[in-house]
Amino acid sequence: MIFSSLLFLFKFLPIVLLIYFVVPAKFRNFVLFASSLIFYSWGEPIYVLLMLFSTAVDFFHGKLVYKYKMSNQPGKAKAAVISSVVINLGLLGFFKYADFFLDSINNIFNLDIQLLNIALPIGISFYTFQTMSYSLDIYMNDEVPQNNPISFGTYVALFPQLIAGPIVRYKDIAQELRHRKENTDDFFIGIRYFIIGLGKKVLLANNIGLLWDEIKVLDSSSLTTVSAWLGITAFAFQIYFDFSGYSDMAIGLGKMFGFKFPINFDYPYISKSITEFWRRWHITLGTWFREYVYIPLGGNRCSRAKNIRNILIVWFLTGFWHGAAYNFIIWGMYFGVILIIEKTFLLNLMEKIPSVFRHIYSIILILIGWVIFEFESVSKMGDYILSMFGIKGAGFVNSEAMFMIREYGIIFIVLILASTPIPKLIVNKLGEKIRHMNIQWISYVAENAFNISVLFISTAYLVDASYNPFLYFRF
Amino acid sequence: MGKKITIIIFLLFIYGFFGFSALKEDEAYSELENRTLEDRPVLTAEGFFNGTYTKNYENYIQDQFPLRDKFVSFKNYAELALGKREVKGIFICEDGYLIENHRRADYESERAVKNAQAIVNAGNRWADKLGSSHVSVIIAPTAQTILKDKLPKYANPYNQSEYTAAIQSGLNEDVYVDIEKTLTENKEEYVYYKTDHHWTTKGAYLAYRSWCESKGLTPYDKSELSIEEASDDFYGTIHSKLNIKTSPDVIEIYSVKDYNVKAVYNMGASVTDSLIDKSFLEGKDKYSIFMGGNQGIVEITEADNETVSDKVQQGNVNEDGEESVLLMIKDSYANCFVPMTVGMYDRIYVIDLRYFNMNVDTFMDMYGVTDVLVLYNADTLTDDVYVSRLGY
Repeated sequence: MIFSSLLFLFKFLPIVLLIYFVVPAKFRNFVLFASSLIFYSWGEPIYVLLMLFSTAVDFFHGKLVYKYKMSNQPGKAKAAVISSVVINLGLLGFFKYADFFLDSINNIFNLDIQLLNIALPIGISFYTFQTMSYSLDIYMNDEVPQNNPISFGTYVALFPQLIAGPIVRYKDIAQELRHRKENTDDFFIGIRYFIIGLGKKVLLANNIGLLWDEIKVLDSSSLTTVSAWLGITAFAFQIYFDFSGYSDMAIGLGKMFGFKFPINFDYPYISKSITEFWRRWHITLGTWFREYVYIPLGGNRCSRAKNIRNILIVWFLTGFWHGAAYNFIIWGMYFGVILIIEKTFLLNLMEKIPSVFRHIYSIILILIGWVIFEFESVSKMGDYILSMFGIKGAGFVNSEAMFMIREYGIIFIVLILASTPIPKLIVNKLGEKIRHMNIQWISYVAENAFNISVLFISTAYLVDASYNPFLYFRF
Repeated sequence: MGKKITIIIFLLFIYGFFGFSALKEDEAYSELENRTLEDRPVLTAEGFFNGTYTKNYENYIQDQFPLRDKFVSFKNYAELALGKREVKGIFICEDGYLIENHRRADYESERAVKNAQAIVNAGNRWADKLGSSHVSVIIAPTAQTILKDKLPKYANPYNQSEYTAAIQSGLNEDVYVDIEKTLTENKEEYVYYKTDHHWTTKGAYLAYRSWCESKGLTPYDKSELSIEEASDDFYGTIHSKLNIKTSPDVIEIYSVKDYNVKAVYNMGASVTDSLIDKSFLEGKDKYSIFMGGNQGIVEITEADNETVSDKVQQGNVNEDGEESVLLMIKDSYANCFVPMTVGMYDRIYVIDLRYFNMNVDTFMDMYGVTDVLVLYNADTLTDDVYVSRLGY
C-alpha cells in the first residue's frame, strides 16, 4: 500500500487511527504492528513473511549480542553481530542482487546461467538496514535489547516508514517504543507534515514526472539541448518531491502516533557544494552509512590513503544500495570521487568565489548525477549528457521543447520556489507580524484554507489518477 | 485553539469521505465515461495472494469514490489553471476543440507495426484474388494530423501520415485510398467533432467521395442524400475524460434517399429497416445512433431482396456471379460512413473484427464477396489486438 492512494487516505488511515486511539496504551504497539502487517501484505502477501523472518532474526541476535556483551565475552558478541549482518545482507543479496550477479557472471565468463527473476520485495533495502542497526546499536552503542517481540516487530514493520524510509535507527525510537505520549501538539504537527508531504508527492512530483517520462524516451536524434536540461531538471524535481514528500508523510504519521522520526531532506537543491548536498539529501541513509560503515572503517581518523579508501567504499555501497545495476554503482562512485576532490582542495578554493557560481557548480553536477541514476544503459547515459552540452542531439531547441516550456513554465516556477526555504521564511515572517498585530485568527484561517485546498486537490488528482508512480521499487 | 481546528478539519476530511463512501450506494455504470464501474470484489484467498483482489479493490474505491465526476473535473480545471494546454494527453484548443495526442511511440510500437503489416498483407492477398480495383484500404488520420492549426502554440504532435505512408507503399498500386488530402483541404469545415474522437459525418462524406473517385464509382451527390441534424447536444468521449465545460457537438445523419434498407444484425439477432437508432440520443453515447454502435456483423440489402440466410439455405451463394458484394472491415469511424454506401452493392457486409470470430477469408468465399473496403482510423490501428484476425 502507498500513502498517496485513496485506499490509504480514506480507508486504512481512518480505521487505524480510530482503533489506535480507542484501545488502552498497552495495546497500541500491537495495533500498529498488526496494521503494519496488513499495510505491507496488501500487494506483497508472501514477502511479509520475509520481513517477519528478518525481524525474528534480529530480535534473537540482539538478545545474544547483549548477553555475550554483559557476560564479558566480546568474541562471541562479535560473532553474533556478524551473524546478524550476514543474514540480513544475505537476504538483501539474494532478493535484490542475485540476478545482477548472475548476469554479470554470464557476461564476464560468457555463460548462460538461468536468471532467477525474483521480484524485489518492497522496502527490503529499508527494513534490512533498520533491523541491522538494532543488533549493531546493541553491540556498538550500548543500546538495551527489546524484550517484547511485539514492540520490536512494531519498530521494524512500522508502516509510516516501512517502504520508503526515513531509515530509523533503533536507538532513535527505542524510548518511544517503550513509552510514548501521544498529544495534541504532536498530532497537529503530524498533520502539517503529512499534508505538505501529500501535496509534494501528488501535486508536484507526479505532475513534473509526466514531463520526464516524455523526454526520457526521446532518442538523441530528437533530443535538443533545451529539452535535455528541462528533462533532467524535471526528474530532479520529481525524485526530490516524491521522496521528500514520502518522508514528510512518514514523519507526519509518526508524529500522530507519538514517534519522532529524524528528518530526511533539508532543501538539498540550495547546496553550494556536493559535500553540502549529501548532508541535505536522504540524510538518514547517509547517517546509516557513516555510523555503521564509515566510522567503523576508521572514518577520517586515519591516514589520508585509508580515508580515501573509506570514502570510496561508502559511496560504492551507497550507489549499489539504490539499485542492482551498474549505473547505480557509477552514480555512487561519481559522487565519491567528487567528494574526495572537494575534500582535498576544491572546497577551500571555492570559498573564494561568489556563491552564485558555487550553486551553479553544484546544480550541474547533481543534474549529471541524475542522468547517471536514470539511465541503466551507459551509451544512453552518454548520449543524454552529450545532448545536454550540444555535442549530440537535435540542435538547441525545437517546437517540442518550446511547447514543454510553455506547458510546464508555471509549474517549474512553483517547483523552484518550493525547493527553497523561501516559502517557509515568508510564512514565518508573516506569522510573526500577525502575532504582533494580535490578529492570530488570520493565520489560522490561512493555514486551514491551505490544508483544505491541498487535501481536496490531492484527492481530485488521486480520483483522476492517470499517473501515480512508486519510484523506490528498486531501492 | 488553532491547532485543534486543524486537527478537526483533517479528521472531518478523512472520516467524512470514509463515511460517505460507506453509505453511498455503488453505481454500476458511468454515464459520463460510458463504461461499467468496478464492483466490490469478493475476497478470496486465491485473489488476495495473486494480487487480483487488492488491485480490483483499489479500482473499486477509485471508481466508486463519492463525487467522482466532480473531482475529475476539478482536477482538470486545476491543470488548466497551471497554464497547461495538454491535459491527460488531450490538447485544449481555441474554439473549443479537444484533440487527443497520440504519440510517436504508439505508432512505432510492436503492435502498430504488426497491424500495419497485417493490413498490407491482407489487402494485397485480396487484391490478387479480386483485382486491385475491387479492394480499398482507407486509414483515416485523426484530428491531431488534420487540425494541426487549431492546436496550442508550439504543439507539434506526431504526424500520422508517416504511419499511413508505410501502409500505402506496402499495398499494391490503387488499393490505398488517400483521404488526407481532401480532409486537409476542408479542414476549416466541421470535419471532426470537437469533443469526440470521431470524424463528423461531413468528414466521412469527404472520405466517401474520395473513395468513390479512386475506384471509379459514382458517389451519391448531396442532393441524393437526406441530411438531418440528429442532435446539437453531443458531448463525446474526449469530453468524458476531462469533464470540463465546453460547447457541445452537432451530429448529422447522411442517408440515401429512395432506398429501403434491410439490415440484419449479427446473423439474424435483430432485423431493422434502418441503420440509424435514434434511441441513443437519449443517453450520453450519441454517436451510437449509427448502426447502434459497433456490431460484429451487419448485412445490408434492399428491403425486398433475399437475405443471405435465405441464400445460404438455398445453397446458391457462390454461384450467383452477377451479384456485387461489398465486405467492409472497419472500426467505429465507418459507422457514419456505412449509410452512404447502401445501394451501391447488392449486398454489403460490415464486420468489426473485435466482435467477429470467423476467419475473414473463409467468410469471403462463403458469401461471394466481390469487393473489400478496409476502413480504420490510424489511432485504432496502433493498439487493436483483433487486427491479428486478418493473420499476422
